[in-house]
Amino acid sequence: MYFRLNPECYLILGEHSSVIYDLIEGDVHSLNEYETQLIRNCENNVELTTNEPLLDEMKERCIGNYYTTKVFIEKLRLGSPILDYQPGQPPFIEKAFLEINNTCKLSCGFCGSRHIRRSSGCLGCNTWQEEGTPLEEEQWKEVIDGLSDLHCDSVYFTGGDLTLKWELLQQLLEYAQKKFSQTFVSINSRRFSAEVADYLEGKALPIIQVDNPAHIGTDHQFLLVTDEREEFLKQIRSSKNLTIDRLVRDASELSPDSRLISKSKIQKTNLFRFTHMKKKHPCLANSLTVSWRGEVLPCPMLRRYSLGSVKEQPLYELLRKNSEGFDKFWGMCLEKIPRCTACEFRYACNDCRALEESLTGDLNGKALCRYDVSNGIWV
Amino acid sequence: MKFETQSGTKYWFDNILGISFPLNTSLEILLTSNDVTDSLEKEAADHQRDAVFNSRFMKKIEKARQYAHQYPKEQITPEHLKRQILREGLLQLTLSVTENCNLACRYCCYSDEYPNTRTPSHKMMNFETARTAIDYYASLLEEGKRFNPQRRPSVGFYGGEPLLNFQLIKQCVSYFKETYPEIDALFTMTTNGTLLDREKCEFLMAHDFSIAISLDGPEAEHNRNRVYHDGSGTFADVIKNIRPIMDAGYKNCHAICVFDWKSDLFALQEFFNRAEVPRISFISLPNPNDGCTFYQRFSREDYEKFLKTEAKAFQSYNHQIRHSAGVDSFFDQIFGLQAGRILYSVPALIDGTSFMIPYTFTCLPGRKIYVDVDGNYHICERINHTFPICNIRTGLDFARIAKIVEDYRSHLDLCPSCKVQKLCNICYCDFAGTGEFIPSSKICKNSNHDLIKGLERAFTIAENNPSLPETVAQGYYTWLSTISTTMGD
Repeated sequence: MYFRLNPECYLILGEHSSVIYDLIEGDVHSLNEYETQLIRNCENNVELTTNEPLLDEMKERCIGNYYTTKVFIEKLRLGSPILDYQPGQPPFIEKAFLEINNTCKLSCGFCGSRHIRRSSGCLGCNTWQEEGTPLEEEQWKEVIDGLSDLHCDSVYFTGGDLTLKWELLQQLLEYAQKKFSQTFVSINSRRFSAEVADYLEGKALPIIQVDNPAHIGTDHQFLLVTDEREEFLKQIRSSKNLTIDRLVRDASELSPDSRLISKSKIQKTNLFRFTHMKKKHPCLANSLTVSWRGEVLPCPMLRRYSLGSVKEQPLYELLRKNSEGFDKFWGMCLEKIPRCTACEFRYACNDCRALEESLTGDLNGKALCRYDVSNGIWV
Repeated sequence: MKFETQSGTKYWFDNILGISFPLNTSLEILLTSNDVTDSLEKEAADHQRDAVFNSRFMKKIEKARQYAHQYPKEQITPEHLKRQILREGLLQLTLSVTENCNLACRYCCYSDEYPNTRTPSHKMMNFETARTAIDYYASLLEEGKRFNPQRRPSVGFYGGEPLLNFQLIKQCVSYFKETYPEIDALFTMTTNGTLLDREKCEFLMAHDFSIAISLDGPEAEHNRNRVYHDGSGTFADVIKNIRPIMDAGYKNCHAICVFDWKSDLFALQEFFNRAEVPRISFISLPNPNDGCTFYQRFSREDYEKFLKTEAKAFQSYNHQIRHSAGVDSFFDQIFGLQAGRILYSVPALIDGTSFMIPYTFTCLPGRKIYVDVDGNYHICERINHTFPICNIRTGLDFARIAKIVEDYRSHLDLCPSCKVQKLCNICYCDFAGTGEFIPSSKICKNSNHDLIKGLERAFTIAENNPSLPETVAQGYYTWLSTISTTMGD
């Protein structure tokens, strides 16, 4: 008798333990060392000689099944693993952040200009202590055309305070209409008036940045910037239209059950996410930012890593001539991060390279994790 | 679609998911029943333990099927098409530099065996035509850069026998490199090898040509079909001529092998495993479609004998791979690679190779541009010349291409209901009549049988050596990407 995992269930090995990813139900099942060895043997078509209750349980839960002969289990997948990664394929940009301005009259304590570490700072607005000349309207339109030609899926207009460049934003939003699947605008709640809301209706989805939970509404997407503890955040996490942007001074100050470092950071899986994370970073892959002064960055929060300037060359030329520079970020995946390489959760984990780099000083560093890979336990 | 391996294990190929999974009796009932609810109840009564698993598994399968990409039903516009071509196409410009050939190969697609294709002639392409085609291709690449800055283009030389117009080839390479030094194009050539002398070999190697040599096996095999006009064999000349290339250790020389129903597959296996023989890049039987009469020379006995030899070869390979996997052998190309294609290159959950053409393994016209001696543009070198996509005077006619694609789609009458649609590996040239496509209901009967046989064999191989299909496919396509920009199609 043999036992094999179902096509949709992938066994991913860690240093000693492992995890079964169920790509249809979305569950991530942890296995200890003994269970890992058992399932490994099963997956290698080693015949069963004893009864194993774990396998019965797996059959009950429809994770695997018994077979009387050796079978081949073709794994559920998306696309073609061979053909989809051939050289010369046209690039696909998943998302692009367009920093329309770098000015703001507010003085938020968590602004990028104050070098505050944030877990989702890219979705909010920031100003930066940078010198330079802002891009003009025509230059932005060329960027938008370039992104559209390169099959960009989503665009995030951000700043500074976008209401200080309201006319420019309007021109660009009109210009960007129908060029992308989704268009977002990041705006501080203090600037999100009824007129702004009315204008954006049908043109872009606002992401409203708040620092007070009382200001979270139900009719838009909100970004709550906070340093509240996890017990408080649990009470408000159930809102589907809310993203928490956690302020982080140091990894050691975070409570053990914080979503940034505990087992809660492990997300449900699915076919798309799993396929993506096997080869790509959950956030950096195929993403770019065009800063207010035309610099192309891998992420709004990774300011030190310039990939070129759209003032000098169009986006496609930057991609062509600096493919190595882009690949450094677009080719990144958790498997290549030293602390994640041997972690069985690497295809279900959240990760912000900007935040990790800020905490560790190393683009491949990892401070936000309480999982002891060697012993297979969350500490 | 159910199939069975040699071990007796039954599998189900799910055409929406694009994968197969093992069957038990009761799961088979569920999958083939029209009323799943009744079947589930019957299931519960008959096989309690399996019933829970099967019903949950079926629900999971249904959930997964929701991910399947739906192809758009709107009409294809020339503007949309042009954008797609600029983004995904333009991978190769192929110049047919002559319609002449010094050989009279018996299965040649330009012979009397294929009445829908052109016949050989003494026509030669002139430099003016070639230069105009190159300039236009370069202009398209320039326009297309903004959509695909990482594309690596290639310029191929074809015939007849292209080396009959070697002067033109030299002129084209020189012109291209001098006029477009910023374009890093791969040069390719398909040649019968009989005219390769030292000068030509040195030229081709100096310019890093990807050289495809038509080589059908050891002498007896090769000379059965690949002959001069007087009927004499060409093997000795070909082997002598490629020796300098092989002795130089040149990596970009590879063999294209055509076999037929009289081929001794074991003799081919022994021959192509020799170190001094180029690695095979492509192997096939002669195309049976497009009005082909080649197969009429074989008797029923020939065909049945071939099937027995092929089955024996498969058994031999299957036995070998239980203990090891050689990735360069002839049988790896025939059996291992086929398994690898089925298991790892079929696009799962996504329609076809392009969302514009959801069925068959057909590319978008414009992926390649084939230019005949008169300067007419065609979809590729394999399709007959009754489907032009315009000419060097006017450039690509996107409205005409859109019409061809719509016309092609409209003839795929059997495809929506085909249960092995995702495995399809045929394309335009298989459906091409004279200026009109033949419906898939008339073409596909034998293809489906072959695809199912392919599934049976792929899973038989995978049961014996689970990692072999992926290893062979990965190795082959990685190597292929160094000698071709079009995946060898």
